[in-house]
Amino acid sequence: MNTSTNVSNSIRALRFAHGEMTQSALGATIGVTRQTIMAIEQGRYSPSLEMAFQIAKAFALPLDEVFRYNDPEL
Amino acid sequence: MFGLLDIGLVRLYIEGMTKTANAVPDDAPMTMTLDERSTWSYGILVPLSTAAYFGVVLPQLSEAAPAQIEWQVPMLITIGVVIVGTIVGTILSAIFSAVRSRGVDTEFGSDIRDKEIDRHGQRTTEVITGLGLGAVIVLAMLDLDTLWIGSAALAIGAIGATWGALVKIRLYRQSRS
Repeated sequence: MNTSTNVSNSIRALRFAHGEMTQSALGATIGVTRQTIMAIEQGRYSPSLEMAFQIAKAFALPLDEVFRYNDPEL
Repeated sequence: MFGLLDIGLVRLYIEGMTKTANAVPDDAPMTMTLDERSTWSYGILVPLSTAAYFGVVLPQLSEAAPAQIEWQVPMLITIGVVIVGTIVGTILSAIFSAVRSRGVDTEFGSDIRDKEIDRHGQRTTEVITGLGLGAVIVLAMLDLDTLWIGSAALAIGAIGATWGALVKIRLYRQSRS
């Protein structure tokens, strides 16, 4: 399980841009707990590819507008 | 052995008791999922109850031969305490948490993150119990008293389960803080 990740995301900003959606509400939309949404937001947990797509879909955005890969070699 | 003491029953019971609170505010206290709660209960109960077993059985060796020592009942009680204690501990912990948050955060369900963490814990447990099984087989080959064989199996199961619980707790804490 990956708890340290180079993947960053804009979930927090996007939630507020979408009517101040709570972590709990976003979690309910994609079928995970609030704890998991919080861990993803803080970069403590890398979601699966499928979950990442589900999160992007919840905001009606393409994946790369929600998640970014910060290449450590750059 | 302790692998049988999974938390499926606990999860089914509490998820039936609790409702999903979709509108929990972000600043509400972060509660543990059911899996995390039962991991804590399990991780505390297994070593304590196993230590209690050895605390009851081993002192008898000073007064009786191993073959005369009644170890079966204490072992069954130990296993029973872990099963019942894990269920009760998880339920009480969830109820306490819901009451403390005044009913705001009653979302205790588990998801894929819990399953991933559980897989890591199970893998650790399986490695330890797998290696330990070899030691138990050697004891049986040496034709030792059943006290030693049973107790070794319990100790190895307890070590594996406790180590697995510690791995899971570490992963839970890493993904939260």
